[in-house]
Amino acid sequence: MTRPANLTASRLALHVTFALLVAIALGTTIPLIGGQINLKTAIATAPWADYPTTDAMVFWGTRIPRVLLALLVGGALAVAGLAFQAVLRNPLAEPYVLGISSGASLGKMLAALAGLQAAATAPYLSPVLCFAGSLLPLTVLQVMAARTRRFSAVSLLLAGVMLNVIITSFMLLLQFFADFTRVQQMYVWALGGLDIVGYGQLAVVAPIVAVAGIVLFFQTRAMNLLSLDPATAAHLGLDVSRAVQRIMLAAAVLTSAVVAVSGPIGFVGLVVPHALRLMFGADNRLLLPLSLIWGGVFLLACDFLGWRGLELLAAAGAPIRQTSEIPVGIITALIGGPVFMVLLLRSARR
Amino acid sequence: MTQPAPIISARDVRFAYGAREVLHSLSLDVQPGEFIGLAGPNGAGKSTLLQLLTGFLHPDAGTVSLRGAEVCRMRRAEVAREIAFVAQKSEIDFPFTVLEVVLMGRHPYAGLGALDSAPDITAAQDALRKCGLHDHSATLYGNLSGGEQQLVLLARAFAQGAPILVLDEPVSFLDLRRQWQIMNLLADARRGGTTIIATFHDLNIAARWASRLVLMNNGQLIADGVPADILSAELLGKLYDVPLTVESTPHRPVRVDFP
Repeated sequence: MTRPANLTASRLALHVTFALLVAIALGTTIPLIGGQINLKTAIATAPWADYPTTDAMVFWGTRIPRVLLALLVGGALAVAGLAFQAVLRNPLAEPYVLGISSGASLGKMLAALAGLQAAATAPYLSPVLCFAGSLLPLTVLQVMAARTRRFSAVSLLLAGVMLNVIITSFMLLLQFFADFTRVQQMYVWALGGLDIVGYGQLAVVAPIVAVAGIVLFFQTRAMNLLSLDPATAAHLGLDVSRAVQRIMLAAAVLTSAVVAVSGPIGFVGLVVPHALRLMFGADNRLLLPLSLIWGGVFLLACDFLGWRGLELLAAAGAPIRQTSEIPVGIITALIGGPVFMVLLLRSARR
Repeated sequence: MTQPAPIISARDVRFAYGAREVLHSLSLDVQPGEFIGLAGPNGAGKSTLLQLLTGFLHPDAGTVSLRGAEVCRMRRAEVAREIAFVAQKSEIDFPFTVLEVVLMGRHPYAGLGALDSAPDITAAQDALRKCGLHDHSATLYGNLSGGEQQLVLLARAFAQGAPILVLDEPVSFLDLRRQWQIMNLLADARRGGTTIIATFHDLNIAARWASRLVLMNNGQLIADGVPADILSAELLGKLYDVPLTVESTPHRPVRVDFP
């Protein structure tokens, strides 16, 4: 298999434009599908007006922000996955698998249990609490990643997996001792979902994702070098520890911002970069903008399955009693888990 | 007569991995244009010395200077414009093409922009052509044979355009054809003015191509000079602890062999 051998402006523009067109097409179609709302009256209303009808409120106040959130969260998770994969030299690395997402969840959960319930759900504070929590697994991984002679790519990933297990168990323990009503809330949030009302959370998360994304885009050359190995990267003129630190921090910021609004959603950062690498190769300068867009498209599609899937099945006559929605975190895990296994088996065979 | 200023100079360098000191107060001056072959038993400290000369490892005592400046205080990109390093082998887990791998040699010259500049692409293509890899530029690095991969790493070093080339066992594990090809590429580079420092296990290859041979044992230099002058059966017998013969032939000033 051969592919165009180097990155040109026209190649970058072509792939980005195509991905954007797909994202826009899906993003405008999905809010129109399903449900018992009158689209005509909904769309006739201006989105910034006080919604005069329930139809308008459902369409502009729930569906549209949800689609935007899916695009944003999916993109951020895919980019974070790509960044961790380069730094840890492992295509299986991903914020959820590595425990970065659970660290972020722990930050928010501790604050909630400590009585900062309002604080933990406040749009401005929540990402900060999540970021504080993510620093725990991040620091461990960063210290390990800096000691290249000591730890192989495999042990780094394993360490992340274990961090995830430890933090998740600790959260279960906390839930065990906590007040039942709070636990219920936490439980639903921890499944990872995109149910959102209004634009408040979006307005907080979008700029964080934009800034961290731009920082990472300027590190894509460094990501290419680091995905060879840190010694080679240093010999090719990279200040390795500084680049690793910058990339991991930016990836953790992305992860924390999205965990704050959507809970820990796994495997987007694994599936999307992997598929893109199969098609376009390993150059992170191309993969990063494409991950941002296709990650959003992937999560949007998964969310659509969970959100409208049961309803559409029931409408088609399937014997389903309950038509409530499935949190998207369950869908992505059901898709991503097997992909992870296949990748693991393939890398073991090599 | 005074010698020209050394391009790299190691002064009383000590280095330990944890409590185990592997280099004991070692000094070495590299003159511009030399081809230094570095040989000695496994564990003698050859690779460690290379890592110190390139500033990747920092000495516990002593200094390594590059054109008079202390190498471990220089920015990595500055060092990379002076020294290109070729590792013994490099496995790449991601599907990079050959051209992409060679273009990474241009990183020390990269600006903020994401795309490769025209001079970068020209340098990479010239390096590929020199190494006979121009037909492979769109091939995935991982699909190449070990010998071809080693050539790609050498092409990347050429693309880096540095006046000093440091190689860790560039021909070990390669078949005779690749050994010949790589050694002649190095000889060409030297004729073009490149200073070369490389480790070898094969003393005959080192003696055939290097202008100066440095023998190491237990973290110290034990011989340093023109290969034919320093290679003797007695020295090598002690160094490797096996019987060896050293003879002169009409075609070769020195030839090392088992008896």
